[in-house]
Amino acid sequence: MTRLPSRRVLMAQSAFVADAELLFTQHRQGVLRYLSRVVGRADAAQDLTQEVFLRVSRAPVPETDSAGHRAWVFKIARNLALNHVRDTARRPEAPAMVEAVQPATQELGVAVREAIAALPAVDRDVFLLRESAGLSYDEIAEACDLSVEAVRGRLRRAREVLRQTLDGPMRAGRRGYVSLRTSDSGEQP
Amino acid sequence: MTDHRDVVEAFLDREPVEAAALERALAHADGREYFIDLLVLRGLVGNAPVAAAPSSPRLRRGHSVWWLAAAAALVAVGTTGGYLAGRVTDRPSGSSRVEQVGITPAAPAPTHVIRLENGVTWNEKSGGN
Repeated sequence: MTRLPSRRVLMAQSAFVADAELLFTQHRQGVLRYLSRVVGRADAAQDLTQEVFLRVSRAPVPETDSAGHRAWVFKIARNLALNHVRDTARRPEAPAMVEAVQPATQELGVAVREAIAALPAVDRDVFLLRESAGLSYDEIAEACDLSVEAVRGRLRRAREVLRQTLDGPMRAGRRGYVSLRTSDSGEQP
Repeated sequence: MTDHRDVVEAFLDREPVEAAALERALAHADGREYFIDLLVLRGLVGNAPVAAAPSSPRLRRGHSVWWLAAAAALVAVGTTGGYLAGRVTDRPSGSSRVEQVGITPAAPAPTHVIRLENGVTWNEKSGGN
């Protein structure tokens, strides 16, 4: 005879699902942006984002504040992304197409992707967690198991390398408009 | 110089910075240049398109590999099946062989009957020379 779960268990389970749903609503876009930049492909990033929240829904949400939750979700995303990048390096994929963009933008996109991909793995993750996902230094430190000072250092180094690698586009950019907002901005309102 | 950059970087990363430190950093040419560079870099990274592949070569390659595997499986099944069927039908069977030997095809019905009788000479000499 099957024993029905108690009311307490049901309430705990429903709270658990509610937590996972809330995390999904709050961080889905940020996770997708971050994963898109790390793996370089929209289709793979979408698959990985699903996997991230599948894991979030299966694991007990840690008892911490919202920043802690964010760091936890991105830690899962980062681990999955690292696995994906490692697997892809072993089994290279055919180059993907960039949809509906001007050739110049496409070239620039490839240059930016290659420059980011050439960064050391941890520097790249720190940089993308900041630029694409909008995590704070504390959250990045927690997601990457680093100190806040190490996050500052790696962020600085990644930016210096990218400034040099993307020298041409940077010079062109200095002659155009700049904004605190970008289409990839992971800033919280 | 590094201090200016630290302050600019922290400010653009939405980390708390001292107002006076930010003022000093932006009063310095290097600080202003770094401020602009970080915004340009942020724009480059944020606006760069991500490769999308709804009909990616990977998918097409996956499909072709699947079809190749299916075709190979069909050929293998066909070849093995044909070989086994051939072995079964070609196997010599004693009873069937005996039956074939024993069967004699029936003679067709006669259309003309010639009777041979004693005393009748068949060397006719009538007519001709």
